[in-house]
Amino acid sequence: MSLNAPLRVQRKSVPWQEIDGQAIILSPKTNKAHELNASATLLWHLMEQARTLDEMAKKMTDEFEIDLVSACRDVESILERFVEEGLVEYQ
Amino acid sequence: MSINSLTHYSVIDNLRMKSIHQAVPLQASLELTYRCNERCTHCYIDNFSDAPNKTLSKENWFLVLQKLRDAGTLYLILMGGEAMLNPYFWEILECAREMHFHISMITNGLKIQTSETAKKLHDGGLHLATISLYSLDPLIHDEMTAVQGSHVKTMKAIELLREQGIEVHINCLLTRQNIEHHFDLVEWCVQKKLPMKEDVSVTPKMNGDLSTVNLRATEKQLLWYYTEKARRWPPSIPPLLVEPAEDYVCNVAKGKCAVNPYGELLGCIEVRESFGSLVTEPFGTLWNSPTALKWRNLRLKDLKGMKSPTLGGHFCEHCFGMALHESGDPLVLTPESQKLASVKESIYYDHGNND
Ligand SMILES: C[S@@+](CC[C@H](N)C(=O)[O-])C[C@H]1O[C@@H](n2cnc3c(N)ncnc32)[C@H](O)[C@@H]1O
Repeated sequence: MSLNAPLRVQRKSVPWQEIDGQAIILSPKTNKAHELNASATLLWHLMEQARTLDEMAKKMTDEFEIDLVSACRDVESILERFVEEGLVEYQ
Repeated sequence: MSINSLTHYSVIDNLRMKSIHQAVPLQASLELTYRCNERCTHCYIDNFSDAPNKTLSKENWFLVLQKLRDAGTLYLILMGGEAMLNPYFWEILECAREMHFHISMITNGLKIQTSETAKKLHDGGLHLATISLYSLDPLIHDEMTAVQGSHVKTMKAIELLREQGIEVHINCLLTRQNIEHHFDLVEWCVQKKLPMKEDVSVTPKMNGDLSTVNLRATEKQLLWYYTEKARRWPPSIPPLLVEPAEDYVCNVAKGKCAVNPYGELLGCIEVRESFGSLVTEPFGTLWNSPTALKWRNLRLKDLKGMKSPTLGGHFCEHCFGMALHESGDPLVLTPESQKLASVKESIYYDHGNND
C-alpha cells in the first residue's frame, strides 16, 4: 500500500441490529449501546466494506440534502465516536 | 448526524419497549437440542433425547438464524438441553457471530473444561455465559443435577470462561432443596462480582407432567427467604406492580420468541404451543398466525380467579405458559402464583413502604 493512499475504515464484527431504519450497535469494549439516526445508520452500512472518508461523504450527499463540505465534517465527527467506542478499524 | 449513546440501559430499555409494542422478536431462545449431560430433578424437559427424524441439519439451523435476523432479533440465547451437545454447535455459533447477533448461552458448563474450549467460545463470538449453579455446597448441587461431580465441573467452567474475558452470570432456580442455603451462594457471587438471577417458579414439565412442582419451595421457606432477603438487602422488597391490571402484558410472542430443536417457532420457552416450522414457513406467516395472535393478545385483566382490584393482584407475576400446563387454561390464576403473591404482599407490609 502506498504511504499516500487514503485511509480506509471498516466496521468491526460487533453485535448490531436495525429496527425501524435505525441501527442499534452494542459495543463489547465499553459495554454501551448506541442508537444511530438514519444518516449514521447509512454510514454503518457503508462500512461493511472498507471505505475512504471521501467515498462515504460523497454517498451522504447522494442520499441526503447536504453539501460535500458538511458531509465530510459529519462523517469525520461520527467516525471519531465510532473509534472511541471500538466499533471500527482503520486499514 | 447523531449517535445516541445513552447508557446501555436507556437505549436497551427504549428498544425493549419498542420491540414489545411492535412485536419485534428482539430476543430469541434457541433450544439446540433436548439432549443433556445432567438429569436435573426439577427440569421441565420430559425426555432428554431428540427424535432423529426431526432434528435440523446445520443448513436448516443457518436458515433459522437468517430468518430471526431478518425479523429483528438482536439477542440470541443458545440453550437446550445442553446446547453444546448439538453436533453442529460450533458451526451454529460461527454463523450467529457472522450475522452479528449478541450471543449468550445458558449452560451447566460441563463441556467447558479446558482453556482451549473457553477460548474457542470467546473467539466464536460468545458474549455471555449464564451458568446454572444451584448451591455452593457440592452435595446439594449434585443432588439437584443428579450428576456426581457436576459441581466441581461447573465451578471450573466459571473460572475458565472468565479467564477468557467472557461475561459470566449465575442462574439459580430455588427449590425446597437449595433455598435455605441460598445466601451462601449470594455472598460468594457478590464477592466474585458475578451477577446472579434467582427464580422461585418451578414450572411443570413440557408434557404437562406436574411432578416437578412438588419441588417448589414451601410457603414457609418462601416467607423465610423473602424476609431474610429484605433484611439483608432492603431494595429487594417486592415492589407493587405499577401497571394497572388492564395494561399489564406479558412479552410472549411480542419482544421475544423461542425455537425448539425441531425448528418450530414458539412464543417463548414456557409456552410450548408451536406456531409452525420456521424451516419451511416465512417468519411473518408464523408470527402473525392465529396461534401467535392468541398468545400475544392475552391480557392480565382477563385472568380468572383474581380478586382484582385487591392488592394481592399487584404482586402477582402470572405466567400464561405455566398456567396452561397447570390448569389447562392460560388465564386461570394458579394456586402457586397466588401463594407467591401473598408471600410478597406480606413482606411488603412487614418490611416495605406501607404508607
Ligand atoms: C433447561 S436448562 C438448559 C440449559 C443447561 N442445560 C443448564 O443446565 O443451564 C435452562 C435453565 O432452566 C432452568 N430450569 C430447568 N427446569 C426448570 C423448571 N422446571 N422451572 C424453572 N426453571 C427451570 C435451569 O435451572 C436452567 O437455568
